[in-house]
Amino acid sequence: MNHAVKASKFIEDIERTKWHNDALWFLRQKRDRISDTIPEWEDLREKASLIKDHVISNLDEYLIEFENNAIRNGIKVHWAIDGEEHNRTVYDILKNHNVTKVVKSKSMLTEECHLNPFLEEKGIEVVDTDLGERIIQFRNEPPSHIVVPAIHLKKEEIGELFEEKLNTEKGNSDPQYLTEEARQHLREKFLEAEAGITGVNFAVASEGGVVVCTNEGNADLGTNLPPIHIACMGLEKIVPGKEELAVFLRLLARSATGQPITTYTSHFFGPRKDGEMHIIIVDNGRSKILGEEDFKKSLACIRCGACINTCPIYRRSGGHSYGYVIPGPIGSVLAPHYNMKKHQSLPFASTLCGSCTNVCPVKIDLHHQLLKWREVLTQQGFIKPSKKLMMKLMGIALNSSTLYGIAAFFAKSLRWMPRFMIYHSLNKWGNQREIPEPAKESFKTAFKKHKKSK
Amino acid sequence: MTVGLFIPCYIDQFYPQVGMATVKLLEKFGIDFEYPFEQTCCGQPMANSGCTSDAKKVAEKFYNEFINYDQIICPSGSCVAMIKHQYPHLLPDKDIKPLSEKTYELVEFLTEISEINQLEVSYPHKVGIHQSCHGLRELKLASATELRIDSYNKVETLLKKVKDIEIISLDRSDECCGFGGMFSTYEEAISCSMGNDRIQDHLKHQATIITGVDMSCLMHLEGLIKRQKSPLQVKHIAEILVGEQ
Amino acid sequence: MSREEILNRIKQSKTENNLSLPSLDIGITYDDSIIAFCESLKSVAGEMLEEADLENYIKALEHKYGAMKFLNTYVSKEINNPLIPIQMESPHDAKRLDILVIEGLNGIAENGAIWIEEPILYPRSAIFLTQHLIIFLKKTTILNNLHEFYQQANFHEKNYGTLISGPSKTADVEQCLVIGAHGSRSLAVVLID
Repeated sequence: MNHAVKASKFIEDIERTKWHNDALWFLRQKRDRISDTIPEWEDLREKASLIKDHVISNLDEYLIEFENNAIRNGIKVHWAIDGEEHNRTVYDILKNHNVTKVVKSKSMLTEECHLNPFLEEKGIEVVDTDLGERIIQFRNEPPSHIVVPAIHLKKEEIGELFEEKLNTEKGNSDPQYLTEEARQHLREKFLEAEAGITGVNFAVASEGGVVVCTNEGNADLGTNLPPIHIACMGLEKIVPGKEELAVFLRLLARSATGQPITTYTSHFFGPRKDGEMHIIIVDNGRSKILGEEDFKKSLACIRCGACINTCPIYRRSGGHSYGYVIPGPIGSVLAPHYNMKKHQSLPFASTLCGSCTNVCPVKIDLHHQLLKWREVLTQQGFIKPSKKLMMKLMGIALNSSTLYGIAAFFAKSLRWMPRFMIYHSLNKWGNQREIPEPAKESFKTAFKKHKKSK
Repeated sequence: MTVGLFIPCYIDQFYPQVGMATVKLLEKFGIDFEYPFEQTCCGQPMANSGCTSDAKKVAEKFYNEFINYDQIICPSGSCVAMIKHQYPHLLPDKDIKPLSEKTYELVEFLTEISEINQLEVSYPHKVGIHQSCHGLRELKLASATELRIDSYNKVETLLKKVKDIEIISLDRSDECCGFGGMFSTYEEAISCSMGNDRIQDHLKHQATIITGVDMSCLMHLEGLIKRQKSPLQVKHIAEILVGEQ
Repeated sequence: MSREEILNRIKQSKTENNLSLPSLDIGITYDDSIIAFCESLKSVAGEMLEEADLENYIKALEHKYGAMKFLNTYVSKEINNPLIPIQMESPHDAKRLDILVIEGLNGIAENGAIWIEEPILYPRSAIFLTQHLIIFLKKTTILNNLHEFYQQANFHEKNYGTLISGPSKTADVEQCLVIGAHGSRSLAVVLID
């Protein structure tokens, strides 16, 4: 099902759409307010963009440097070419230690690789520990946002869910109460876990360690209680050194939720005493994107979600309408790399308004990449024949002044066509809108007369 | 010094009064201009749908018709953005820089090039400005709310030179109206929802007129307004600048 | 080996250019970084505390959250408190902890964060399992921004460190900010000379 169909379903609930729109807009406003307090904000974005450009063009060297330093620190480094190898690597580590209970903090990469169902099938219990992630795990659905995964749910729905799963009080949907119940429930999970899996926000090459950011403290509980820590990272997560790390940490939380920094910014530079630390470096299509000049900048993404929050289409269609693990503008840019046929509608799920590009802390030219995708998809034959024909005819007409005149004649005929012939189910424009009335005389004619009269 | 006037296809067919208002403005300020009658379109509908080869031919036609003018003026931010930002990609064998540097959206031209001070027209209405995305974020006619730069707004600055006009402020001053070319029919539901939200914002702040630099966005909003039989009206900025009530 | 395959793919894909790293001579500075730090801390739901008020603060916590039993302190100063310490040998032992008092190494004015390094005397988990966290911080260690922090930071031979900015929090239920997610329910900072 394409985005437009799913979006029109979402939007049928007008009240909910407004609520969703306002919830996301609230995040955008928080981002605006906090970035206002940083006089060097635009400069910071520029620096972040330059650092990423540099890293992207020297990625192999930085990965090797990162690996060498990580090994020196006592970390075990693994490489995975795709999601399947990533999942297998995680499983092998767990199996070697007879682990049956795992806690996981938020990681879009493990979502991308579908790690949970893989491990569950092997009899391993995986508990997502970010509150939003736990909620959607209970509901057995994918996240609808990369930073606030349960943003599509109302507190009453979460209350009912917790009543069923955690035996909470009937009808109590107070966020304070529900969070407290989740705290108690997840504390038990943290304490009985035998291994902890985290994502990676930044991998610092010069230090050979990774940085993980959370507000809830779940990454730290998940890694500092059980003896095994597995950190899973996409190969683009590299930053050269600690000085560069500062730039991204200053931008990340401010762009994401309007906080000056996440509550916990934890630096895992080596295994704990008596513990083990593993890092899995995952490609899964990233090296291919690297080779595409028009699209490689998307590898600079730090997954802040700012483009998603500001996107007027996302706000009115919800994350699940995108049908890809990452929704919104950045998701629409990334998804077709993985499956062009399946995700062909996503680059068209945009007005190309450019707000995404303007909020992006690393200056990814998101709306230009969406336009580029339209071109690629059309070239590859992913366009409705009717649409293609229309564009072809339009192109021919607009390329010739005579034909343009004839086309104009047909436009005029709109005036004498009966209403039922203009407003029908095939004409999507006319569903909720009037069609502009063709003028009695075109500008060309009017201007000719005007010139003569002078 | 001759200026070439480019009137986009949909203005020619549906909103000739906007083209004529532009003509009046240029005449009023004594700008020597020509209107090449062979012109049709900039090619944006095809380019934005991904039909690059169809767009390329139209772009070539535009290039040949306008390259010899000293300046090119067009009362549409979207079409000018197309020429400036997409032509280099569509016509890689041509040097687009001279063309793109001398192509101006009308407001840009009036505020920067001719530095107009007084308009001597009155427009006693409550007007809301619709910042069209291409005018705002591609041509940078105003500072977008996402950016942390000094705030400015060329459209508003120009409108404020009109007597008796009252410009209202909006809750979301530069959110997209949902037109987006083919998007308006491809994602009809979202498109109309976005348009309605814009209209509500203007109504909430008691606007009676919505204006802007892009008639395409205004056409979309007008379609919704007319269907809902709302008292709001849309006017292209050129119409207000010549005092058309 | 996937390692070689991945590195080869990157080598083939990447475009060679001489893009260098930008200079990082940026960062907001404050007339009074201590005042700025306090304001930032407040904005992230942290509290400022005078050393002399510690006992009252614990009473206030008990008033709000109920009676407390265990407090461990790892600051060089002797502090008066009515609670008792627990043995913390394994990471799991920290689960009973009500209050943990530790020292921070740096404060950062722009975001109210405090740098805590790999603890030697207690398990890392204690920082997150404790119900309440109190951090002693020397005023002289407060820096303007993260650039200053990372320029002077030395992570050599250090396995772990974390920047903590306020108590744990979440807004995952309908965007409502709730303090006390998985980590500490409160965070107080005692500035010392």
